Amino acid sequence: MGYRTLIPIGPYHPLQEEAEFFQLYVEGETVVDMEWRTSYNHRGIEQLCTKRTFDQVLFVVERVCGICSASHPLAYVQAVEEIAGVEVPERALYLRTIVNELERIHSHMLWVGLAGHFLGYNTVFMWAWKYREPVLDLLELTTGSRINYANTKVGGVRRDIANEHKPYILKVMDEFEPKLEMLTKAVLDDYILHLRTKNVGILSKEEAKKYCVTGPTVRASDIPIDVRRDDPYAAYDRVEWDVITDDGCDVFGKAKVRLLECFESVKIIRQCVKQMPEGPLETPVKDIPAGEAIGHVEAPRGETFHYVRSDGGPNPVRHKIRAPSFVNVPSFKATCVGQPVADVTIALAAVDPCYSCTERLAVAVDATTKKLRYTFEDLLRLSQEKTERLRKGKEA
Amino acid sequence: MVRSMETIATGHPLVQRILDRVGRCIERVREDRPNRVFLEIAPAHNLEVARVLFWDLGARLATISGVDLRDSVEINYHFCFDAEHCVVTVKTWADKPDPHIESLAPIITGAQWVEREINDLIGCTFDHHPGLTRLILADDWPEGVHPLSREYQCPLNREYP
Repeated sequence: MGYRTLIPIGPYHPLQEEAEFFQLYVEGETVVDMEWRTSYNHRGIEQLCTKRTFDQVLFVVERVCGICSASHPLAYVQAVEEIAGVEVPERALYLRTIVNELERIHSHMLWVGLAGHFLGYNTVFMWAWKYREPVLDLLELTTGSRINYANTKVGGVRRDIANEHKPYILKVMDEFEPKLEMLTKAVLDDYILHLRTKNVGILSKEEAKKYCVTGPTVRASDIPIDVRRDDPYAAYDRVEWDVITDDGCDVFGKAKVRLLECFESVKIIRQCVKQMPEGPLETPVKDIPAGEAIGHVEAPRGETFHYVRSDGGPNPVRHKIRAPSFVNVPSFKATCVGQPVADVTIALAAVDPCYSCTERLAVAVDATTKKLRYTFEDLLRLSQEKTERLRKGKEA
Repeated sequence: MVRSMETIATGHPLVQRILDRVGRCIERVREDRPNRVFLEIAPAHNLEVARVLFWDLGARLATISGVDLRDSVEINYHFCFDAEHCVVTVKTWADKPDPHIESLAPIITGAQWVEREINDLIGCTFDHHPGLTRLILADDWPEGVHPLSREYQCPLNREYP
């Protein structure tokens, strides 16, 4: 065994700039093992939910995550609606679908931008975030807020989309699609990006199954799982769309799945806007009877799973929240081992980890002297230098 | 605790397939909504049922949830059968005080972290877990205090004027 160094990344994630701790065990430049520690920002939301009424919990779960702030409430609401046996009006189902798909586009574009930045492609970062902006404006138009939409409620939705806003939504989608096409082509055809992301951070089909990963992470390992199709909710079974998969199993595959999924989202939004029937926005719900139920939703990062139990009282007696990153992040153990340190940054970013959902990365210390070997700046520099080397190599 | 096996005419074809394979371990089947099945098993059978569901029938372990019921801890294994459009929850329990149950981590890698979470928050020990160390609670959190257990007294609970 060679000289082994411990690289702690965190407890503040250098890439996502969030609290998490990864301990990378490194021999030379190669990662040989890693540990994960989370929960530096534990907020006790599950406990808090049991102290709030069913209506109030909605606003708590919306704040689980600033990006999935449509998915978490929807998963919770679906569980409560199951307990209460509520039939949700058709129009509300379509409205829920539109907001959830807008959320997916804005989340995926955010990731593409960040991934570009980590690889030293700041143009990708600026493009992606620029094109994401009109999508956030649409969210503001449809729900009244760019984040924390407060749109879903038990039995239906809180806000309607006015019919005169429909052409505008379609116009934004029409403008967004060619830009997305250009960005997708630019990213997927780039020679350097191929060198940096292909065969990097491989998560094989078998490992993906063992680690129980979800979302784009599992679909990039060629396993076609998508809650929207497998257990249809909202209006997903009423519109035409495809589950995107890739057999690359690497970082490139994950990027491809996310970019192509945005096209599917555009398709879904267009159909929903056109097909949305007139009708009431909600079914009034009085009491939540005793019972237990499961609500799961395909959030941008994967399946968000909520388990709610009621004893007939005003508040849930147990509310379990499983965010997608909680199952996706441990798969780093499979993807990072055997990789050089410079590739770890992008491999870690590839699952699009969300810490506000999951919480806590590690940093590099010399195992003998306990001194810090690499800081975030060093890792980012290593990653960007590698891209620069490849670019020069290509030109030479 | 001996419970009679309830036979319910269940709608989902998956239930029959599960009963064929591990019927002797299952004490109760409940299917109160379409595509949502609840199975109740004795704690001794959790590993066997999980192995059949996960490895033979191709389920995905979505998560595990623990519920403190005062005299026992209820453990719910949520399995998603994506191809069959069904979520199967396998219910079992661990008696208090000192709840213990066999860990699923040796057969399902993905169970490791959620079992560590339940161990932290509710205080249920998972036997033969490859590394049942702290995941959620801080290193300086007192031993034996579990924030989601019924006995936990939150120091911040106070009356507001």
